[in-house]
Amino acid sequence: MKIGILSQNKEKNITGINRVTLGTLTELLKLDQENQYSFIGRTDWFSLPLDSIPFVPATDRVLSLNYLLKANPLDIIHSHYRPFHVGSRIPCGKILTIHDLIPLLFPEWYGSQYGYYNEAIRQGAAEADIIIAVSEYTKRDIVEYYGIPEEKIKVVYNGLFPPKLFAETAVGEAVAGLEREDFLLSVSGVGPHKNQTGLVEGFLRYRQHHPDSNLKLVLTGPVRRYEVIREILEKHKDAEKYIVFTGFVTDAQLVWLYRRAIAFLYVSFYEGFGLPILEALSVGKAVICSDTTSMPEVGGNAVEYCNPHDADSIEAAITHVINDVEYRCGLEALASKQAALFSYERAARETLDIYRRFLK
Amino acid sequence: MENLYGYDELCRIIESCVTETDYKSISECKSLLMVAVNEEVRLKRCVDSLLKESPGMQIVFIAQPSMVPVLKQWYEACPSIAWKGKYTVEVLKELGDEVRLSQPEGFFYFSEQPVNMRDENFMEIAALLQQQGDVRVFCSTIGEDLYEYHNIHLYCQGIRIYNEINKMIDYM
Repeated sequence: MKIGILSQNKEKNITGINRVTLGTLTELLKLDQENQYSFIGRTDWFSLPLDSIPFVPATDRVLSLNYLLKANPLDIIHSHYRPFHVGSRIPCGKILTIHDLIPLLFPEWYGSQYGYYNEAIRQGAAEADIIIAVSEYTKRDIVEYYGIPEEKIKVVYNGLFPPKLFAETAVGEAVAGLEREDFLLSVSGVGPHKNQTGLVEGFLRYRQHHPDSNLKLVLTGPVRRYEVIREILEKHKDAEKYIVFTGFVTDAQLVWLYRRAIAFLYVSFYEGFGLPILEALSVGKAVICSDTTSMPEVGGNAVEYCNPHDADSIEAAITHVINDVEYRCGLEALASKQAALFSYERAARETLDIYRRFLK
Repeated sequence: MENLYGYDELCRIIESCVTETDYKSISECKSLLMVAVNEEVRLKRCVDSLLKESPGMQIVFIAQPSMVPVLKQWYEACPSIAWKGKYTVEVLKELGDEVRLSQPEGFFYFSEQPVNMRDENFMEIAALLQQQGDVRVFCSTIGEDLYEYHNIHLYCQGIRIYNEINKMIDYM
């Protein structure tokens, strides 16, 4: 059988959805000697031995693959978060992976993307034969907001890619100026749903109640985050002494930050999965994260939970993990075991099972 | 007989209109009109790389209003025009009203979203600028992959044909 994989466009620095695609695909190719895999689009940005099918991702938000499939017949197309259309007379199974529906749920924050989620992804989801959701929580959202029958949706969790980045032996590369600091780390993308305000408020309350502490908060990621919390920083004049903005860091620096941090803090309002939680757990770090959406699926009983809508709850969680060393060590002991539940080897096995059942 | 004008050939024609480029090549333009779709550190890295290659380059930014003060802080010498909403050809009118810029040598569309490489609005702005003069067209996805569009007209025609065939197959 011929299976075509569709993901985002070529990237030099592989991030996000492409990491999930390559993580799964790397393991699928090891596992499955039976089916023939092709990649739709250019393959010169990764090193997997795959045939490339030429592809013009035209301007339509829902990608039409009619012409492509007439020229290159496939039994299954598996698309990672790119909605696509295949004419009803073309025999090809359609699988679509969906990570989250954040812009659909928070149009007040993501107005510009709302249409894409409300029309293109909705249409892609309706046309798909099978939807793969990256968590049970995302599955529930797809059922609720797109009205897709539950039985059409399978859950396959993410893993870590590249695995060697998070291997026990990886030490990473120090971030200048932080070598001697005690810090909490938060790694986050952009967007109001990441709750940068609550994160900083919770941390500053901890600082206020522990004036002798040397603890800092290190924030990686885009500068927009700074804009969001500018107001808070202006209110708390000392805050800039305790909060360090690194901007984007390299993978090697990221690993070093995870390892060097006292604990990891992630108080997002909403996640489709929560990859940074898994990354922190995999290096054996104590994690404080939100008790909402998919995060408890990733954290299990190996993390300290808080209510992201309540700065007091965030502060209480920080206090518990930082001040109670024995408790923190207990979380560290649980972390790697919890992380081991998630891998692309497992994701590939489950994905292959979905392909096989479908082809039957 | 070999079919020279099938799917692969159309893809090849379209792809041949776009080639990868680098900061050095872009910096040959003395003046650049830059649409900054995303307000990220990556944008700064990209602009810094351009200015490193060509410190005298004249850049005019068009960005969302929230980003304008940040750009002004970063690049004091470069004018920034606030634009709310989608970047359509209307931005060129706004630009004409607000900034005195002789015909730019280059147009750079900076986006974090790879899908925007084929954004219709981007194509329309680029086509209009090329109609008005000899403007080189560049695009970046997440600031690391840089592309130059050599023939916007042929590129748009190719995509139109590709889309039409896709639609036709729905009715076959």
